Amino acid sequence: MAEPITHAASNAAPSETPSALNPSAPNTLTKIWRYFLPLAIFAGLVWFLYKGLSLNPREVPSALINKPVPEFKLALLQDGEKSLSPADMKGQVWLMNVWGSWCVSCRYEHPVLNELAKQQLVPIIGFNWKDQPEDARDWLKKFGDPYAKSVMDRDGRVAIDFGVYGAPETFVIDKTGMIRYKHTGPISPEDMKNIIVPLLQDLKKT
Amino acid sequence: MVKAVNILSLLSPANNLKNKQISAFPSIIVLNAAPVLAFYLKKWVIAILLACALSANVFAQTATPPMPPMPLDLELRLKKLETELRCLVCQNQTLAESPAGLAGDLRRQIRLLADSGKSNDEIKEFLRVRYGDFVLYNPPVSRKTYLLWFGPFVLLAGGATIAFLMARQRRLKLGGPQPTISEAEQKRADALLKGDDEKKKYDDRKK
Repeated sequence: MAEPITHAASNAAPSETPSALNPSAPNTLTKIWRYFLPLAIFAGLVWFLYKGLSLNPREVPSALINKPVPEFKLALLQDGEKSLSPADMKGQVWLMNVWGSWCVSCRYEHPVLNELAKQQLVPIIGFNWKDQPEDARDWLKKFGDPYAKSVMDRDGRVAIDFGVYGAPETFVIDKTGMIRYKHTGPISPEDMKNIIVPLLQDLKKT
Repeated sequence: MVKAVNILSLLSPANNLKNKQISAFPSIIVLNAAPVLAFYLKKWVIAILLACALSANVFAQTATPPMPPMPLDLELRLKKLETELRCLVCQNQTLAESPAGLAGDLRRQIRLLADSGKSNDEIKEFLRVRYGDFVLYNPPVSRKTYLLWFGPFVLLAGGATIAFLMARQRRLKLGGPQPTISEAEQKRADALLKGDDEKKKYDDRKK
């Protein structure tokens, strides 16, 4: 006789037989969902974590894309009496490559730049960052000089305006003096062939 | 730097107190000494930090002139500001603590800007324009950072909604068609809930 009452009381805990009380009990499909939902969430989490593994945290998107190239006037590496400013490059597409003789990755990248210089597609301006002029000149003698001109930023002040945080870094600047692309780290032959050269060709057409 | 700390700490009165504390000094005195100790320690830590900053500057400035000395309050203001800025080379270090060359350049630039009367916000903006939001440890609220800022609250709201729905479903199940019982059964149930004595009375009456 006491059965129904005690049964109802125990129902406060999760019921194992909801159908007994509720005629519209969840059908099997929604029941299965209940078990697969955590699995689905877990799979999503794994996907995000896996994706995160292949991202490079060192690659900080430049704040200067589609912004005018920062103004500067820096002495040339080969002739300290002369200087260069971005205004001198107006009307042509150019590449600005940040490098230093102390920079190991620059050495790795250098043949790629030499190759591009041979093609004479666009002038490459070397941005010699925090370096000793003698060391820099020696370095270019040793590994070849792909630069139309090299400027010296000895105290790193102008590099800050470019948002430079490591070498090598390469900026693509269009005819109107807008920064169109920034490559962080050494340019691989593939990057040059697949990204930079096509972009330069595009920009030259406009 | 290690050497400097050692020498300074030998000279420091705070350190003398600390040594005594270690050598079974009566604890009550140590308790009294704690605020004094903290005060001295604070002063010395600042002095050591300043000494390090100054000497580091001398070494770093091979190509540029050394920074002029700064008033203490400005120095402290900039030190605090630098802890809110990210060093882009080490990425997980602040500008204040990073030994990278670029961090030194940026600290110098910050000092020059502060010296020319720029506020903290103006200095932050100077860096943000050049290095992007990444340089700020406290990212601004923008369309890009909505998920970062509000994502946790959305998750909380979602979880609360699910919990609420589950609770309601359970309540509906319990509130649904209840087993009906007769008046006599109800009475017996009440009696049972009241206790054995009541039950006995009921049973007696039934007889």
